[in-house]
Amino acid sequence: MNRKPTIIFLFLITFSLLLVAFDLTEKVAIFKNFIAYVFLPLPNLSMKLIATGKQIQTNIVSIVKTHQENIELKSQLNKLSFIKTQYEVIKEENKNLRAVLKLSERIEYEFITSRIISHDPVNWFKCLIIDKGKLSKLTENLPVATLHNNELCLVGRTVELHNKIAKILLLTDPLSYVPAKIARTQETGVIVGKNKNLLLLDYLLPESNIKIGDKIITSEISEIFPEGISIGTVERILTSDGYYKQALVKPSISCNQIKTVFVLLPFHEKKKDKQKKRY
Amino acid sequence: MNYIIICFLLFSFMLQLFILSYLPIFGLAPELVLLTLLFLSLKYGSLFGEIYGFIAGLLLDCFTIHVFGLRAFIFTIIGYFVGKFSHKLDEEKIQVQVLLTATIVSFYYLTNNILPGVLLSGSIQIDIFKLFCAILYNSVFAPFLFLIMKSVRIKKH
Repeated sequence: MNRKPTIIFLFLITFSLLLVAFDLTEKVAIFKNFIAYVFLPLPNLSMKLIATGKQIQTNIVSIVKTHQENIELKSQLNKLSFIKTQYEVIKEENKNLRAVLKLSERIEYEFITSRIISHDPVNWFKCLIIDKGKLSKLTENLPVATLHNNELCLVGRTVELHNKIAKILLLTDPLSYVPAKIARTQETGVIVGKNKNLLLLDYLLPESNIKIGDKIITSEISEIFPEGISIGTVERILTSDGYYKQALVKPSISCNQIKTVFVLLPFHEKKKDKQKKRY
Repeated sequence: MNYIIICFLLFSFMLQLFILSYLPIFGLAPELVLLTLLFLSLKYGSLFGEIYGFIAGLLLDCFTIHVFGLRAFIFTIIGYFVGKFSHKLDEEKIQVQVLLTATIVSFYYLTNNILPGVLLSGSIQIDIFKLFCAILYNSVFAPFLFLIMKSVRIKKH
């Protein structure tokens, strides 16, 4: 009979019992520390493995979410592509009808982005200064607008130009007159500045159906401003003086909220012709 | 024995001590080192079982605050006696695997609680519910582990 396993067993048992007996002695502690030192990288490695596992889990969730988002965006893109096709067809049809009726063509605008560098030091509601001027092909009386809540809002128009800067006459300046209309009823009037954060909508007919909350936009009768740019909403209707009805309008954007503006520069015919030839 | 045995030992040791202990299910983690000891002792006999058990126990002792040498002592006993049944039982059968696991886990749990109590505080506390849960958990886990270990071919030199 092979006694080797039993002998080794007895030896190991004795040795482990000795370890138990000398548990807290210095030599055993040194031995324990040595073993721990040898295997010290293992806990760090395990922690890294756990962290990687958690990261993988996060990544998988992120991939699934991205995939879902991708499906949704693709569906939206298909819809938008369909709307764009419709728009192109309607635009072409509109152009043909204008030609038949001999109406003048709508002016298309180029957006020149500009940063506000200063406000009027005396009165903030009068004018502001932008960092684009004559060198950026700007001229006087160009409409200036800004984006607010994904909507193009009218700010004012260019009045004084230098090479690298331009002054903007704000809607709130009493010198500013802008032809406007009520978006709901298409009734036209004129927006006049009041030197405060409110505008006056004047020259409405006494029988006008204006209501509080009505949206005011630029009118097509203006020579400077393109039609449909948001001006503000009706806040208060003033009593009629017998001739015209008036209303106070809150601007779509307050003048101290404006950071960047777009100067709307009309496209030149020559430029358009060049573009057509290119295609 | 080839390097796969050392890998088995290190892998199970690392997995039990540093990963499964951080991901417990109902407060319990499988005794992976004990189960590998059971499998290898059944396969290679007493001599291998006791040496493997001693080294594995010593490694576990280094990373716990238990009485140093206690697990080495228990694992050596388990390795030696389970090795005695090597090639005498049909370890392929799930019933045998479950029964052996339940017996070994009970022995391990009881000795691991009784001996420190006797040696240190003099009072013995045994949580029967926890013992039952540990037996159940490891008995369910063992057949899967044995299946994985069986698929790894180990050459004996």
